[in-house]
Amino acid sequence: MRPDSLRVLLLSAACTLTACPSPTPSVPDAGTPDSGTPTEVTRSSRNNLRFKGPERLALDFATALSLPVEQVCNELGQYPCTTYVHTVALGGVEPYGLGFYEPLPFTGVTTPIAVDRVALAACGQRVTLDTTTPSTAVIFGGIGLDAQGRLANREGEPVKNAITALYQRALLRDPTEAEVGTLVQLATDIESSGSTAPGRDWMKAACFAVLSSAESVFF
Amino acid sequence: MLRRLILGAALCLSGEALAKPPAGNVFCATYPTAPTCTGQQPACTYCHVAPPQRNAFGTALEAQLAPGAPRPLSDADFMYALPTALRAVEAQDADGDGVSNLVEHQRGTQPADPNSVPVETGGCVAGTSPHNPQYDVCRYDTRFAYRRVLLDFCGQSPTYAQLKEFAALSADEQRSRLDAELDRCTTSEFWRGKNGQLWKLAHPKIRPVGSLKAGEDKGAIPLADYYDDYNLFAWSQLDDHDAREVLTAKYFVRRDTNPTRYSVATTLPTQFVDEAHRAGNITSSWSLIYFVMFTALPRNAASQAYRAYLGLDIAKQEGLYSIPGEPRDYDAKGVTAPTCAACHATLDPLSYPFRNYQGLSLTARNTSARYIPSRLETYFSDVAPDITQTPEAGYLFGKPVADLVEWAQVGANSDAFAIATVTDYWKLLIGHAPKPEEQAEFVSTWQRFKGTHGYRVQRMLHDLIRTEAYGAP
Repeated sequence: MRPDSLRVLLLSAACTLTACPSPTPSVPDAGTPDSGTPTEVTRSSRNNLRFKGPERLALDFATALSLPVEQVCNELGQYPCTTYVHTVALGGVEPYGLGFYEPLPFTGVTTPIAVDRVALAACGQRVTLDTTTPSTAVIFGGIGLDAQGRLANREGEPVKNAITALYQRALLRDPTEAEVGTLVQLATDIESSGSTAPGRDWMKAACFAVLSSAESVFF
Repeated sequence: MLRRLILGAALCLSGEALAKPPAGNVFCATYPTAPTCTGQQPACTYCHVAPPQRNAFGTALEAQLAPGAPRPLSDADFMYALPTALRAVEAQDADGDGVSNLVEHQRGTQPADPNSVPVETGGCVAGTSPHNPQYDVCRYDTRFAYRRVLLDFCGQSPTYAQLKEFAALSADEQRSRLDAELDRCTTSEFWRGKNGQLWKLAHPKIRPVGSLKAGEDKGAIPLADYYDDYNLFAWSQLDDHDAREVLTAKYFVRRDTNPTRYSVATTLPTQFVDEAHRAGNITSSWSLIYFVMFTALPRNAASQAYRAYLGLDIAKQEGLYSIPGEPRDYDAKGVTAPTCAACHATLDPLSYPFRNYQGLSLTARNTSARYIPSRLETYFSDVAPDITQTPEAGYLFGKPVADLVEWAQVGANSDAFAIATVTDYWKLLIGHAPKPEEQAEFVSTWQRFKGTHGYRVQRMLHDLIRTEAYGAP
């Protein structure tokens, strides 16, 4: 799969879980909830979600994917994403060298990009570990691939178990049927995009979609 | 820092008529129950964009302020006329946000800011349709608070299994678990370790500069070890320690690692002020070298201590208590000019108690970061003709203090210190400074911190995680 194709799919998957508005600017948002959102929920009057920031993101991603925190994300394989490269973009501080004593009071333009980098790197690590040593797989154990690298049985229990594990580990709840259906459908989308390793790409995209969702990165 | 000084100077030099420092007193005498008067006073920006320029509310008020009387009004005339003017504009809506000036006073919102309006929280009935399956967004939700406590103090979410187990507990058990988890997590490295959450609270107070760091993580020009300041700050916030000692400690604190432990030390090789003249972090080597540095009258050190530990930023027109006859301008900086005096009538008497604390000396290095009884006479006599007349006695909150040790004690025992401390944690744990609709809980929290809890942060945190502001989704 070409990188830009994967990116579109990942974005699409992320939007599915985070209720992004339609990217088509001419179509007004009628407020129709996506398939993964309950039709009506009580609104919070406090409106006070907080962004997790670099340390909490790294620790939560590490715990969710059973990775050592120092392996969650390293740019160029050696520069820690959350404690060095993207610290300020992720809402951290850099007091000693830059005199940046307090975090920004809001998330910046590059914050979602940095979150994506961290989530994608962590998911890539987990998928590699699960597929190279299936006997110790944490999330994607028992998922068979066919000769074309596709999910052998996308409706099977191992796929649903993987989705359930992602939700329980990252969002601390069970997925709804609609959410399971959405991620299963993602496999079809990836297969039709020309990916050469659609099964692995699905694992990475499904993991990314859950970890980078608003529900995962805010609290 | 430079930007703040320039801003402060610009504000003080910006015109012939200035904000009236007595205004806060008069306002609070007129509206004693206003949230902005609970342990504090409204800043000059309540009526001004930047003195003398008035905001919408100040403009409306000015029209009713002793109409026809010649300007500028004396302080006495101003104080006499202000209550009448305030009442005359109570029914008006200066910022056009649909809320009268009086209601804005009563609810703690800004009468000149159309985006600052009273907000009603709650307003829904839990358990009714439409239903939120995740959280009770109408009120305090212990499951939500549980996740927040673990994220805020331990740095990571509970697991799915932990959350399930918590949800199955009774209400009393859940509250007990919240307290236990708070106590457990405040022993974590995420909370108390180097660069942990407590250190983050300390960054704006200590204002470290890596290139000037001495000791561990030494920089290119090692001048002082500010990790000593972080250690004392962290110590004062932890366990059952008195938070005021960040300003009053006669001792120092060392840090051991793996895991992080803080312990009291009577001396440190990096600290030089004699015990009788120590006042916690405001007399640390780093504070003196960095904030006093080469100045005779260390206004910067005083204003930084005022801002960092008492929450009052003179550059933002906060905490102005003009002292009659001040400023005296001992260092001949021209601060007696009317345009400067509005700030310096507070700032200069605030700074006098620092007069004997040496900052950085390049000619007499063994005097740096020490208390030198005749410092101005010995090292700064050529600065200005009257510089040696600078007294050591000064004023804090408009009250006389004999020296910096008393300055620190008065400051540490003040409402301002309690408010500033709780505000730090409110911002860290709730994500913003207290909003008008959170004032009741905020005031209760800092008053209990000061009273019932004897300035123990750990105890205050147990109150804070019980607030609706913290635990209502």
